[in-house]
Amino acid sequence: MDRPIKYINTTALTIILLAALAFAMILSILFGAVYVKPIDAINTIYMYLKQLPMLDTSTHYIIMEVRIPRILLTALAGAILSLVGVLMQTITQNPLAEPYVLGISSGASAGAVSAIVLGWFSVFSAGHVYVGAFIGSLVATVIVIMLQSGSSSTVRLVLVGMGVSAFFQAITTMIIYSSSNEAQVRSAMFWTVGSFSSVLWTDILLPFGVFIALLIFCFVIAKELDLLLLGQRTAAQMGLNVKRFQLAVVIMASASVAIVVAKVGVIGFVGLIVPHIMRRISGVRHCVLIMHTALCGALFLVMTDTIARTAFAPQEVPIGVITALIGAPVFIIIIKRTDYGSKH
Amino acid sequence: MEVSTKNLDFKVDNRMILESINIQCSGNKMVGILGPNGSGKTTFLRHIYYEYPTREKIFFNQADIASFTRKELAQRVAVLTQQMDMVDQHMTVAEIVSMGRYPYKGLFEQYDKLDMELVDRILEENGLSDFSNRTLETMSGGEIQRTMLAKALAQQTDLLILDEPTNHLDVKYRVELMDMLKDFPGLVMITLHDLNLAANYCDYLYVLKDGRICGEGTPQEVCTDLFLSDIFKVPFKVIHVPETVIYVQQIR
Repeated sequence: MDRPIKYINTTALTIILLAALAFAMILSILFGAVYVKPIDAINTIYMYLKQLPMLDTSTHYIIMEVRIPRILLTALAGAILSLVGVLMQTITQNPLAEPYVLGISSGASAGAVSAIVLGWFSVFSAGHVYVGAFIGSLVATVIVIMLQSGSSSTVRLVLVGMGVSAFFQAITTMIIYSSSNEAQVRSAMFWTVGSFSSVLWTDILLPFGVFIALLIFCFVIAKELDLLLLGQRTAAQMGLNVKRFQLAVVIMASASVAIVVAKVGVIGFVGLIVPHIMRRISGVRHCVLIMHTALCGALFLVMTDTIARTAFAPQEVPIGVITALIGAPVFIIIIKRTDYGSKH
Repeated sequence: MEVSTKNLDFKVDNRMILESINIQCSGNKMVGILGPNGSGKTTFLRHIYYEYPTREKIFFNQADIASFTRKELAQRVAVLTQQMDMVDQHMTVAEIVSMGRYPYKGLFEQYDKLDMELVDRILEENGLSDFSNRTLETMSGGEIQRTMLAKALAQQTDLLILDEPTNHLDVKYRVELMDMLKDFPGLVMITLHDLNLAANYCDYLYVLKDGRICGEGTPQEVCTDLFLSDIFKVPFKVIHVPETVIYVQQIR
């Protein structure tokens, strides 16, 4: 519905976000432990696209094999986590709902670690880590939704999330400590902190597929998400089967978070910060909000990852530390605004 | 639209909340549901709009409401309740009113030009055109109530259900709202605490007490000193001014 509302023009905002994302990606290609000159970067990408022989193999390796796959995966993870944030906030009618805050990421992490260390879900062969992460995130989401039981209290949601998160983190730690295989432990530890290091081109395919599926899913249900802004009871009176709808969203959100966590580990607060900002700029209508949130989520995580790589180069700060540094104040601001336990 | 119930019962923990409720109403009428607190008015209405599902107890034009899908039901009955606290305050009036068209849309359908023309017309008719881009957080209780009513009107149903819509409204907004409801092109079922509004706006009244219908009729028939005093356990004096108003006064 194209109506002039108080927010920034939709097309203008889309263009701004696209331009900002492209700029952030270019910066991210250039900066890191090793600085790459723009002309070298352009040459490398040009020669790669034209399939010409590389003159400088180290620059080629840094750009084409390290940075670009990493940037693409970072952008996809940011977009996915932000979209899941929008979905969770709308179905729980709570501005604090987010995979990390609700413990869904911790659930996925516990599932992934149990698949690696304990060998669960091995019937799914190569996909057993994803299956483990999906089941973990699904269980965590269902627990949160059940314990929240229709209440919109922010404090209740945060407490439930804390409890679920602590529970799954404890399980993860316990599984890691129970393992005597050092390689397994090192591999499992990765899921508890989150990292975009050592990304291969092949790592992008699955998150890309999930992102496209999630984006289409969000656009298809945009009307229903809008309706939930009137409250669950009103949405039901208007003809929406709220329970069934929530279940569909929970499954989709859990699967999406699971893929991200299985690939890059737990990265907190992205799904909180980005939707919170975009709702204010873009408005509450989901057909527009979804597009802008995906773009802004990708932008945010690409920028954050660039900071994580360059701030103390050649040392790399875990990306979750940077997102938490930005996310925790936003989290506190939202709690203050929501008037301690009352509605948003 | 004809709404009828057949021996509607409802109990919670062995306590009867509604008992053998039988009503039948139709046409472009405003039907008031009166009764003291806890008499079952809201529970009764919740059954009518299927928040509490029943089978072969409630009928719209002789069809069991259990036979309708949720959207089919929402195409027949619009509801206005007091639960405004759950509504996102950042939504604009136009956005809210347009959602009244949701029951008519399939999964992949979006609101089209015809929907938007209807929304614009409803905004105009309800004096909300100037507010259309304002968010709820900037509006008064009366304006929000009008917005929610406009959303219900955009549903284009034959039945409109309102649960104590005049609570928290000042006299001006109460009268304004009741005047708007009087113009609704269908059946209106409304619970009211204000007996004067009920007496002067409703065409027919049902009086509930302890989950049972203990009186029904036109306001002239129902609003008598003795009956109201008996129902509400407070002495009332009712003054009938022929062809104008009924004035219900509580006596101290």
